[in-house]
Parts: sequence; C-alpha cells; structure tokens
Amino acid sequence: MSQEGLDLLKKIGDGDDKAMAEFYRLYENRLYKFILSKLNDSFEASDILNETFLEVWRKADTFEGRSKVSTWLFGIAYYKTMDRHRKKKPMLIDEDNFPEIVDESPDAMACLLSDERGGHVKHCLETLKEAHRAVMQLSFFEDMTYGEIAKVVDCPEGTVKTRMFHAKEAMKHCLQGRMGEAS
Amino acid sequence: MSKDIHELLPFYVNGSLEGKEKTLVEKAIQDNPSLEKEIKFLKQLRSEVQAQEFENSPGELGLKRLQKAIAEEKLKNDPIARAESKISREQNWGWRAAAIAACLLLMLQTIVTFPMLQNSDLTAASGPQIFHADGRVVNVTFAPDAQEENIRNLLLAVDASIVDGPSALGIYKLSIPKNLDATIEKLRAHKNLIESVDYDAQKAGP
Repeated sequence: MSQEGLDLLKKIGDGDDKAMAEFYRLYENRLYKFILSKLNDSFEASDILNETFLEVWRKADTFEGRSKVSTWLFGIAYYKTMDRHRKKKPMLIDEDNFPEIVDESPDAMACLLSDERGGHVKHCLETLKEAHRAVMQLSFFEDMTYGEIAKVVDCPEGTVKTRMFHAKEAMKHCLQGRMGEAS
Repeated sequence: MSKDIHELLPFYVNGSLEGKEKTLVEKAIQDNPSLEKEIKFLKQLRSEVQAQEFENSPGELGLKRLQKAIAEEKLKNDPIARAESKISREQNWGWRAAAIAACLLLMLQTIVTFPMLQNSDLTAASGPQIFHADGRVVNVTFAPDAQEENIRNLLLAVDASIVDGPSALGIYKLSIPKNLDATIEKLRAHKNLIESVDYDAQKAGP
C-alpha cells in the first residue's frame, strides 16, 4: 500500500484527478476511523476528512518521501483535528499528573474476555485523554512504529512511548473498574 | 522491571519493533516470565481496539464532496478557467434574461388577445377556422332526446350557428345574424328539439 500510495501521490502532484480518487478510496476508511475516534462526531469527522484530502491535493507535490505516505496523511488529519479542538476549547495535556497504575489484578484481562468486552473497550477508549487515545489508535489500529506516530502527532519519540504507556495503564484501570461494576 | 521495557511492549505487540529494541524486549521476556501476562493483555487489548465498530465512512459521497471542492479550488487558482467560468455565467444570465423576456411577451400577448377573441371571432383549437358571431346571440338549451341531425337541420333552416357552449348547465349560444324575433319564434316552435330560448334584449343593446 505504501508504494501504491507513493505512486498515486506523485500523480496527484501532477494534477491527476483519477489518482486523487484512487488515493481517497485507498485511505478514506482508515483515516475516517482515526478522525472519528478523536472527535466522536461523524459530521465533524467528515469535515476533517474532506479538509485532509483537500490538503493532500494542495501539497502532494511537496511530499519528499522522508516518511511513509500514511504517516504524512495521518499527520495532516491529526493536525486538523487538534486545530478543531483548539478552536473549541483549550486542550491541556497534563502528563505529569497522570496517575500511574501498575496493578497485577487479573480483572482487566477478565474484562477483555467477557461477553461485553466490545462495549467496555469502547467506553474506556472514550475516557482516555485525546493525546493518549490518538497514540493508542495509531499503535493498535494502524500498527505504526513509535517513530511514525511521533511524526504524525508532531512530538518526540519518548513522549509517544510515555503516552502509550499511560494510555495502556488508563485502559487497564478503566477495565478493572468496569469489571468491578459488573460483579 | 524497567519502565523502558514496559514502554516498548505495545510496539513489540503491534510488530513494529525492530533491531536492538526487539532483541532487548525478547531477552526481558525470557528473564522475566511475568511479562508474558502483560503481553497477553496488550495483544487482547489491540485485538479489541481493532474490533471496534465505527460508523460508516462517507465513502463515495465524501469523494463527490472532495471532487467538488477540488474543482472550486482549481477554478480559484486558474485565471483562464475563472475567466471562462465568468463568461459562461454571463452567457447563462443572457439566456435567462432572454427567456424571462419571452415569457413576459407571451403573457402580454395573451392578456391583449384573449378578450378580443371573446368579443368577436372565435378560433377553434383545431385550426384557424373563424366563426363570425355577427348579429345577436341567444342562449338555448336542447331537448335531452334531440337528435344531432334534426338540430343541424333546424339551425341551417333558421340560418343560426352555435358559437359557444355547452356550459355546465347545457346552455349553447346561437348566433342569429338577421330576423331575430322571427328566428326565436321558429326555434321555440320546435319544442321537440329546443327546450328553452333566452334572449336578453337589454344586455344585447341596440
């Protein structure tokens, strides 16, 4: 997909409409899920999706191939999503005060094996901070390296690893709580 | 267990870890079997995150929207296309103006000619045949069982012709060019054909 995306991007840079349509079809679904996971509003997610691909159309000829096409694309979407958030309300990413929970309790795993696990995971993902959810989404949905994620969210690689660690711990804590409620 | 290893585990689970870091994690797992439990949790979590259902993406509708936006963008950035579009818009406006003018002209013509048709000559929709409604016009109703042939003979005999009707009440207007009184008497005399004859002398004028 990466080479295919790169070839299409070159054609888009030359103003090829058909290549743009193919590029859209190649990434649209994945990108929409990523945006929606951050906004939780399908109308806004559709707007951001449109703006992201429009940006691809405008900037395709400036792509230098220093990162994967998907990393570049998700980076545009991430920036636009954050920009939308900033316009609505100031975002605070307070990582220092995030409670670190290392609990060996098996409740979190039990929750992931329960019949209602889909609902529990959905709920817990929604409780994550924006920055943590984005990293988890890119790690586990897009299977990106932490280096790629760092480019997408425009932060140091160490921050990505820390955010992912915190996101995992928060999910664990939340899932344990869900099991506690259920029992 | 060092935090560094824990921070690398999610990327070991998603298969993106390579080289020294991958080796480091694998060695840590060998040395500390308790990490297996953490990896199992992360694998299950990744699987559940991937299984999350999202609303359908905009799909082809989104593509149409994008293509429209790109077309507008092209237009905005291309002075020649912009000029052509302006000319096209102006031409469209010219056609619209011509169409509006034609409609107004047609309306005016209808307003002017329709009363004229009502007052004197009547043109059938089927052709340009003109009926002269000269003379007096009387209202008649025919007997329900009157035959067309008999009516035709009577009207020809008195030199009358149907110029309008029937109305909703079954009234026909007959044009009688001369000998009005005598003709009305003749019509009334044929009670088997003519039910009523009505002539308003005051309305008709001199």
